[in-house]
Amino acid sequence: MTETHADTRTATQLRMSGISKAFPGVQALDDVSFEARGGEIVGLVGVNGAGKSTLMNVLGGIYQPERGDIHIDGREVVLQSPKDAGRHGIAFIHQELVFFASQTVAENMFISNLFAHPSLPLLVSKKAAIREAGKYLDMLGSTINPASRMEDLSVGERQVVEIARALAMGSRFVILDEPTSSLSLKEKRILFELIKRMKEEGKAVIYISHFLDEIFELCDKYIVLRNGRVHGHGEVADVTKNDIVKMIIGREVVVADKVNRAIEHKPVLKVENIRREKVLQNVSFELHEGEILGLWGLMGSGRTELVRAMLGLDRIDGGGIFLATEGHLVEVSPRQLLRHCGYITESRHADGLFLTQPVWTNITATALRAYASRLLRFMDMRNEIATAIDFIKSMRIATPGHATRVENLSGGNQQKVVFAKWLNRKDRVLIMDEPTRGVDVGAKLEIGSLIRQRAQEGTSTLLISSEIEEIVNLSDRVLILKEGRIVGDVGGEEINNQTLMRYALGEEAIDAQ
Amino acid sequence: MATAVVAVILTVILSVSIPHFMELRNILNILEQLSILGFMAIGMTFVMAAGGIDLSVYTIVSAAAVVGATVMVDNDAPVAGCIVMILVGLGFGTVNGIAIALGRMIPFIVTLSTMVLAQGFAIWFTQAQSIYGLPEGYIDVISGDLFGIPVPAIIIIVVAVIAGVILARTEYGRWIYLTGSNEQTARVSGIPIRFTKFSTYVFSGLMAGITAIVLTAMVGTATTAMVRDERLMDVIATTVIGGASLRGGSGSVLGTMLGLLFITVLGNAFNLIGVSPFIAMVIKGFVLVAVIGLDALRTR
Repeated sequence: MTETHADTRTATQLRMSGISKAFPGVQALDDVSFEARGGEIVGLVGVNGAGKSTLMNVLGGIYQPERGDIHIDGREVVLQSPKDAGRHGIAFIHQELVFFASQTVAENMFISNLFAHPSLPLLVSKKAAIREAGKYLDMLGSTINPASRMEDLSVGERQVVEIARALAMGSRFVILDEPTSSLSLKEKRILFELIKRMKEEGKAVIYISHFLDEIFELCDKYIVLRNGRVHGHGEVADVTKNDIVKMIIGREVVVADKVNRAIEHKPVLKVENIRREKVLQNVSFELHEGEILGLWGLMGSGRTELVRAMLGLDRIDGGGIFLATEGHLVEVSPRQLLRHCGYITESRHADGLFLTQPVWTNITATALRAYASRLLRFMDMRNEIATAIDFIKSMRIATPGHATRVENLSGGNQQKVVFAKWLNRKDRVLIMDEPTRGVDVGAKLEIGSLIRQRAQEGTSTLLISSEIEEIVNLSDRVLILKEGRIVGDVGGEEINNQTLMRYALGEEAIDAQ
Repeated sequence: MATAVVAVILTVILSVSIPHFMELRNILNILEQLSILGFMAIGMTFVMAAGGIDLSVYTIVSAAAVVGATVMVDNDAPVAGCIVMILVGLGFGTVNGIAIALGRMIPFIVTLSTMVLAQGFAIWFTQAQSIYGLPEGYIDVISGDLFGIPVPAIIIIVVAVIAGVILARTEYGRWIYLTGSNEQTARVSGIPIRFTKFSTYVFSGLMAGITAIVLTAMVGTATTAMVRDERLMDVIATTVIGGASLRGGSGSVLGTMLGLLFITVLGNAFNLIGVSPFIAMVIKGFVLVAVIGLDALRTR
């Protein structure tokens, strides 16, 4: 990285050079140098465990590096704590936002420096905080009421508050870690506008994301980390997406071409007129044997709500569910369906994994009865462990051993454990809600081919994803949901981005553009 | 389990350095002392592994003891009295279980209320009087010896083995750990979380009933304060020393028993050396914090 014109420009500049940081057993960062300037958006990419978070935690004052130094505007700084980092104008907006849910927007923004009350000593002035918060929110062109409580805001709005907070603290370097992973399309647009505005105001933005589309849309520069080392950096305009993928995973990616398979018309699951007030309006569909049925729609279209209602996790107001049993469709209750369908949930930490338990008990958790003796239900642990070891091998789960706690695995490997947990029960129907959320490019490809392979073997899959590419690449047929009803049912050649978006947005929206 | 190692090492050191420690009589004495806390701690292990806590267990012992003892004395019926003690324990456990598993109330608050409720019930039931004149046969059998071994020691060993096998080796035991680790995941995975949570409180109530049977015989009377308040702390502490976490999903009966051995051996050693009981309490407190602190460091 050059520093020839560092002093000739007035823009603020951040430079980390030769940063190394080791944890027991891993060299998390090895001689990493990194640079960000005011008025610039730098995309930081790499698989899970590549060192992105460690690098940003060093910058955020959370970790102290063993070697290397950090300069801000040409002066060396030492960042011993997040407070130090804040003092030097560095703001770290984490993926999972940390906030006080029952407090107001204003209080959250000024939690570390509350306003003293003008006349009463030791008390804080809520009015002043609300006024100031409003000022910064206005600056961002946001209409969020600073007096509303954090828990009443959407995820996107909370993110806006977090950015306003960074501005209020006078931050010049803003780190955003996977900011779009739980945003709707509209919220994403707003966020991108904000980020661009920050750039225009001369802030340096460091943008961490798995989504290369976002990097290409937003960033001026990129830097790729792999195994704790820099494996490429430069201007985004000079590279293609494929170049970056190669840098990220270190090998050529071979994506199997999509094949149009002929699906026999043999329904295994039938949903009829499922209703839930305000959320689902008479949804009906059939899932066939060996079919991958994509369920696509924008955030808030009712995708997750539909499967939760089908499985009895949320109440339903009417409708029927039929499951093929010995060749005939038999009506079942949502609860029974949950017992016969694998359900890969949207959030592996919330309801997908037992984080504090070892890998092997996670894998056998859905099929305990299969390992229990008839009398007194003693567990055959040797058999359980053998099953787990089989899955660890066949799915290439990177773990020190079957007894390692799941919380110690990387995101992609955790997701593979979730898959193993359901595949082990050998259900004929698998429901997957965002099966590759938060996993890196490599694991994403592996999971994709796993889904296809299972379908070849006859498993029927209901696939929900907010990534349109994933739906397009994997699905045999796609249902498009909008405002809680099915507005499109497409198959074969018709499955492409344009068609899906047209249905999801409604024809009028497309015509208007 | 790191603490288990400490317990064993401590026992070895004490056994060679303190006269009379390794004598059979003293060891049996330790086992007998240990049994009272032991039943409650085993119950607590189940409850905590499933992600809950039971603060009411020690007052349920009093409630079960006074009702059962009254039945015994009035009818001269030791067996019926013992059955009543078990039933009262199960009854309070069921109340906890229903409120927490079905009513989805917070375990801390529910069992705190039951704690006061059981205490109040015991005092109302006896008009704050102790119950004397228990059948001789009952006292002789339960607090006596069998083949030279105190009966309470035999009961605690049998109960610990059965409970240990259930928790570590059966499908039900797995339900407990998985529910305690993440209730939502357990639900989606098809584990009957309500039954699991409910049953751990009932089990804890059962343990309170057994404690009442053994303790009443050992003391020779039933009172409204069979177990002192500070013993609740001991029960929770031994369970945590044994590897259980207040966040659920961990702990084992073996660990709890070793934790218990540790605490009891410590107290016994101070007694033999002749340390003032108050200084002993202070030292015990420090050791507890140190051990739990070590555990926190290890899991970080």
